[in-house]
Amino acid sequence: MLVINNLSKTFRGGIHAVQNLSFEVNDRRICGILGPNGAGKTTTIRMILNIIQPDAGSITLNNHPIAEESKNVLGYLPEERGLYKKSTIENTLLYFASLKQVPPAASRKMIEPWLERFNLGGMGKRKVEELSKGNQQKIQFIAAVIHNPDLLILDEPFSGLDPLNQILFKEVVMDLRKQGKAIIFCTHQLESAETICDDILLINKGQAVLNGSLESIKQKFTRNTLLVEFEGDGTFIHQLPIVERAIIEHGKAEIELHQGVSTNMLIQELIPNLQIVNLQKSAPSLLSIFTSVVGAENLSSDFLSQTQKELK
Amino acid sequence: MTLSKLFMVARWEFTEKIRTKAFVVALFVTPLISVSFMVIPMLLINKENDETKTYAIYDATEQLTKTVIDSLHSKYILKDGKPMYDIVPAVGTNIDKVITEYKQRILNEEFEGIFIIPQNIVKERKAMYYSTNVASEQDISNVSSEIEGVFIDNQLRGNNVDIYKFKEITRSVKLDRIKITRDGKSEGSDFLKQYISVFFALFLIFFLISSTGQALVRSLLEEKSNRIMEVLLSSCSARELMFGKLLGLGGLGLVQGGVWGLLAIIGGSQFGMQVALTAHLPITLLFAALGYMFYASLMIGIGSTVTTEQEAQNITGYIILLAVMPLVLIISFLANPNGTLAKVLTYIPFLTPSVMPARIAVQTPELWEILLSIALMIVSIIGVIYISSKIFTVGILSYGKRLTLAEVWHLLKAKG
Repeated sequence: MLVINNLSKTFRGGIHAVQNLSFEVNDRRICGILGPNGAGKTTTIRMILNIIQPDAGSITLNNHPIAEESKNVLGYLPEERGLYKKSTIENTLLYFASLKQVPPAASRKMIEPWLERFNLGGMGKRKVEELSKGNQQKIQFIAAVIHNPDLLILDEPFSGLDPLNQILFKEVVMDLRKQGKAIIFCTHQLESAETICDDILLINKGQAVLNGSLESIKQKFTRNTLLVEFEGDGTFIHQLPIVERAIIEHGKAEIELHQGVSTNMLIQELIPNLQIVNLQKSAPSLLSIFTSVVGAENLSSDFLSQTQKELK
Repeated sequence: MTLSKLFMVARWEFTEKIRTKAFVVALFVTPLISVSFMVIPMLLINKENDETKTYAIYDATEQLTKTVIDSLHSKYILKDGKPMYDIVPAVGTNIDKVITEYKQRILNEEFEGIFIIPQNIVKERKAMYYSTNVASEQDISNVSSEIEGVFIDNQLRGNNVDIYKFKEITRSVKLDRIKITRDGKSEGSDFLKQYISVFFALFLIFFLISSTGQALVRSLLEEKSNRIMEVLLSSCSARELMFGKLLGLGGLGLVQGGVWGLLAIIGGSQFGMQVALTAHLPITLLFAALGYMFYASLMIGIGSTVTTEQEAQNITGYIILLAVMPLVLIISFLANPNGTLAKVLTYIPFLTPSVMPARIAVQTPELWEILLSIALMIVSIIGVIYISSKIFTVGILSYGKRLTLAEVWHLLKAKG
């Protein structure tokens, strides 16, 4: 279990990368850390990994303050994909395990089952550069978990994977959760965060904006929200007096109505202007929650455009 | 610091790099290139000497030609028994006409050239050689010294001087150089051998620094750009990583230096020069090792700040320039190895590892000077490692923008 209390880090030049950040990651839980670029995610992760030291606050893992020895029970998959291209898969995995002080005999036993789990059985003697990009990503993932860590930090683990492999990765992550590991999951992809995270931490400008279990957050923000698919130009929806807020895209809208407004009233307004294809009541998406919490103008524009792209 | 992690890094750096093509190529191609620089010209010269060369000679005095030809034939013989020089007498009464005619024949490649002995040689002491190539030094001097010898013999005879007595009297005096060393022994100094062993040591340091230095900076850059660095740092500390890399690099240097040294000893003995086997070998190797550690520590600190291939090349270039400087300077101070210049250069850490062994080989300095320079190197290495490790800890995490000097200065002032 990871407990972070009032963590702060200021870099030279007065940049407050992280300010008074507190959150917990429990065993058997996946905590999604979300936020735009420059929000302080990397700095937070580096402090948890004991690569840089915080100016204030504490980080404890299983009731011990983070120290060099903690690194042996931490697993980290960085966002960028990189391995020693000229080395064999087996040697690479043995090396990373040895840096976690796993005896070679023990890590050797772990290699083959892991390779088989990722459909790479018997490929241990191959060179890394002989593998496809997706398969290299699998090796990098194995390198992060081969020493059976208590806390696993995954930075965009699914990016660049084909849909089949995304499913495979998700299954493996779920298995690791079942085995009792605490998992931190950093991502831009709000949709995948919604499907696998138990808890959510949204950071913006170095501060926690939203923190709690996904369920409680959704409950708290459940409002009178409808998802509408349609044909025609939907921009007029913004101007309707019965609408509180709306996220409108081409042929699709997430519409939050004022308290007391019925679905029928909305349909009456839409029918003269649009061909309705589909309509359903919905829990609010993370994006709509985020925009309502911080306001779209406070989330940096690249985060919004990135997440909106993924919604399409 | 966890030693086992440090050794894991060292072992990885050593076993993975030693298997790379670049390392194996550098290991064997570098000596091959340097040897071929020496050997190929020698082979080419020997090759030319396999054929008889034809010269013409015009002797206006009509007294020398026959003796010169006979003496050249008996003195210079090719491997297959043929004479090395075929001398053809040129006939004619007018020297200018002869020259004009033979100029054409030389251009037609009938002859290598023509030696002209004018009538007034007794007075003027001057002969001429016409050729398209007046720089084939060995051949020209072989023939011309023969002409000179025969001419002088003739003169001696003409003046009734006893040739044998004259030669006995004018026999040259040889100078034996004997070097006095501090331990009181005097040894026959083969200056050339020692000179070569100094140059050998300098080249060893230079090649080691340039090849491993470049490999180091490049691999740091690779680890930074694909973020393996972050995975490594999530497993071990920056210091464990740096010292592990230095240790692994030291092992590679040892292998490289060892192989090159062995090749040099084998190669040297083939050419009759026991290049590396002088009495100064151990001390030279000690300074080579110290120099290697010094430059490697410097390279790892500065290399950690590099963020692009361009910067990597610039930085290794500058450091290699520092390492090669002694090769240039050494010529200027060898003439006066205990002069002020040499003494000052000895105590500049960048130069100590090459200047000191050079001085020892030429004219052994006082023992305290040697000890002082060793102590200086050790202190410098510790200093460089201290500074480098501070830069390294921050440098390896900086992407996109290199650390500025001001930032480095701030780092050095910071405690911890």
